[in-house]
Amino acid sequence: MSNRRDIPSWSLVVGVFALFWGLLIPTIGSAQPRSGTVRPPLVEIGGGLDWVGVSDLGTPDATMTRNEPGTPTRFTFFKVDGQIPTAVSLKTWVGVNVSPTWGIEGGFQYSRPTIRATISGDAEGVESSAVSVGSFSQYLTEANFILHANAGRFDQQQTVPFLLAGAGYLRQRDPEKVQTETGRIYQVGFGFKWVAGISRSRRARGPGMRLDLRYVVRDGGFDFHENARRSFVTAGLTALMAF
Amino acid sequence: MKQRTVMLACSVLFACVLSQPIEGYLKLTEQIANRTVPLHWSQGPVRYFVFDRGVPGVTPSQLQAAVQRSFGVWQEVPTASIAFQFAGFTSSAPGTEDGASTLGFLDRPDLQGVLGATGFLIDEVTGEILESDVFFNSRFSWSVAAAGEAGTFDVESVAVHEIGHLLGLGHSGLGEVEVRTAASRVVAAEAVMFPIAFSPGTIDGRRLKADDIAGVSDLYPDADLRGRTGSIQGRVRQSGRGVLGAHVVAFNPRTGSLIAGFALNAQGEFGIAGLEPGLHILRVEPIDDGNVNSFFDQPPVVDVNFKAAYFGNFVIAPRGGSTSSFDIQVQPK
Repeated sequence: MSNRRDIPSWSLVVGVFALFWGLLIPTIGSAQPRSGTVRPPLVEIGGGLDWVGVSDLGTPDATMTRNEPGTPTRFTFFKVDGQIPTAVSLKTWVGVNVSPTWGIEGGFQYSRPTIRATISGDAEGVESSAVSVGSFSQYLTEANFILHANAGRFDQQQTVPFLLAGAGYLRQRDPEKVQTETGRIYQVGFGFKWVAGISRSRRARGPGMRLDLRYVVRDGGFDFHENARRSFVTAGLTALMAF
Repeated sequence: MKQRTVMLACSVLFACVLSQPIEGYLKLTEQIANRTVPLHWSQGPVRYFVFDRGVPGVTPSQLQAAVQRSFGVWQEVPTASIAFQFAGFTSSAPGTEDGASTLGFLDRPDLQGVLGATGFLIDEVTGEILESDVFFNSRFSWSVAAAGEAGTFDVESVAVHEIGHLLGLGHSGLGEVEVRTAASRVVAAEAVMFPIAFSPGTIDGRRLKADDIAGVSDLYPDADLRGRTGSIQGRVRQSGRGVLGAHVVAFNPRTGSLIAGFALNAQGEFGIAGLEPGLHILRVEPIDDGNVNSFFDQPPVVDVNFKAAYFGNFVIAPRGGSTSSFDIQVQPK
């Protein structure tokens, strides 16, 4: 089987990211916050949900060898179009802000997505049908760099925009627990953190919320093609506690 | 030791009229007492002779070289353990019960449309193959040209098919046939053990496919085959009863391999071994009436009155094991 790389919607992702980046450039340019600017907390702990978008698995058609002289072409027995439909994952993370601008965080996600394939184009005219496998277990351990745009704070400086970039290790196990797949993910994204309180030393403190959007590239894991790279988007909403 | 001779005609050319395609590898079996025993060679290497008669375009030496390459194709299957040894030329024609397995050309005008056939002498107690002879029908035009030759059949391709029988494999149904007014033609196939040969001039039959490899590996597994591959088992059911003769095709979307099995009893039970571990899509379909003789020596009452269908769940072949049994429900036509 050929290796296929399917990274759709690049232009959309790059466009959104560039827009966000463009808005933040003026503020990120001054890396150190101005006097009176609220700084991020030293430590953040959060937990919540991620909505995970559809991920393609490829279109590995079932084929046979045509009765032809020379190098025969392939005859399509039936067509398969695989997907991992949308899913929700539970996530938890802890972040340490090593400077007013930069932070690092580690996280863990657990979800139970399904694998689905649509079969069509049967050589004998069998009706199109769907094949699926029940929820498999998916574990993701991730680490990200966070870039806070403190000068872009709004909402009485309680909300700060940020960019993130990172990578993770993926482990998936089928429902029958007979097959385990592993892989890596790479991601970029942006979001906002809102923290309810501000300390006397002008640090964000107390409970808060975090919203982020990510563009994720998966390398490995369950897929219909070897070494395939797939992309998907996620949207996360988590509660956090800032210390 | 009781012995019995079995002749399996195969590689039927064009003449077979098939209205629907079929799938699956099949092991040749013998009913011994109450057991179904696969025909097999118990010791290796399997020694073979080559009949010292040529045909126009193919000398005995060329035949021997082509046959040796064909044996090599089976011997090189990494997941199977079977070896062969050329024992020399012989003037004893294939089909002679002499304890020597012989391959060669025979003039068989009585077998219209048959490119070749394989016969066996078997031990009726153990199912062991004692002798197996293969003939290529010299009524046809043959070639050993490296790239094939238009208008002639490729000795090596047909030999690969016949040697599959010699090893104990039956016909596979992994192929598509189109019916024409005068005859039928193979459109495509994904097993060299498909019963109908490709057109003259083609040489793709020299290369084993996943279904052939699974079949020979199932018969002659190497030491750790069972630990590296998986199998699936289940039943094909229609209205609460088993569907005898149903063909179940397992497609691995990751490797692209098609490997199949048959429901071989009244309960509709089937099993497919030698699968790459992982997800498989299953497709079930009936054998057409006209095809049954190509697959079963004494055709049972094969149920063909159901619609082809896909199983609604992926089936995961576990590494080194088998799935628990599951039912595939089919609907009447």
